[in-house]
Amino acid sequence: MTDELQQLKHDYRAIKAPPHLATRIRASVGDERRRSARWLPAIAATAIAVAAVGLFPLIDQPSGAAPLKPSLSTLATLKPEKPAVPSPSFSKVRSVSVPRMPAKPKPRKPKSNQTSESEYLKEKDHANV
Amino acid sequence: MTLDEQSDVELVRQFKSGESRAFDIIVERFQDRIYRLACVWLYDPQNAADVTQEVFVRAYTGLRRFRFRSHPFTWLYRTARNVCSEFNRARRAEPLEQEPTDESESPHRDVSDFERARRVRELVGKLPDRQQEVVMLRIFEDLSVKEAARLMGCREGTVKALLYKATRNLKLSVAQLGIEND
Repeated sequence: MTDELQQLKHDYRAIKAPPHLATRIRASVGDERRRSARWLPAIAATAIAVAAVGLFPLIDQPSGAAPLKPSLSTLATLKPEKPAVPSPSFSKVRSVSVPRMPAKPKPRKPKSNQTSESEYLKEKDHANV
Repeated sequence: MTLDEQSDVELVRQFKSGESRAFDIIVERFQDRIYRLACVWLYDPQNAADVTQEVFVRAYTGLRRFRFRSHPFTWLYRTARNVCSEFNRARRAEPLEQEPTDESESPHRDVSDFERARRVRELVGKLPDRQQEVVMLRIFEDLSVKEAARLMGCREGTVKALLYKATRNLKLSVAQLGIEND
């Protein structure tokens, strides 16, 4: 290797990292370590919750136990849920459609054939009397 | 044998097995080499310390998956190359800041280091990318031809040919610089 290249190599090798760099790296690696470990409690809590939900139906309920009666104070705090029906506006109230009145019954027409025949028979009887 | 005396490979093995002190020694052992690479590769070398820090933060998670197919330095070298490329891509759009010429302008940085890095960059930076890489690996880092070829992803013959061209170009550049300085 020529002197120029040796000198260049020497210059290159003389470059040193700043003295505080190792401390900086250690600190940032510590942050990274904490950041990666931050998820662990959340994951553990989720796993426990999932396990608890999964095991809940398997727990035997005591058959002879009397059902718990709610206290009055508990009942007082309960609010009856109202159905969420919006109140109609005034204009809608005015224009409420009333069901149609049923059509008037048509007057019965006498059944022509039968009636006329019976009347004819009556007249005939009268005439015979 | 203490951790300080162990080989690089053994240190990584210790780190993988959970010995956190081993990582501190890896940092102490390689920080100068990574910092130098960053000084030469970076478009704005004032970020060399930031890049070195980022390389070791990635190493903290990455070396846990290290499979010992190569030397740990080659892993760090590749990571440093990637991080420098990312930094350069982000920085290229911004105007280049003036390099400090006076120690008072940058109290945290040794100006003589900066001058050395500037001189090396001035000469090596003129070479094509592949020749730059071969100079860094073979001449500056003293890696073998085989290791350099593996890192560069080429044949050993290619490394030798690139090295021949690179040294010839470097000599020309040094000579030109000498004439300009005279």
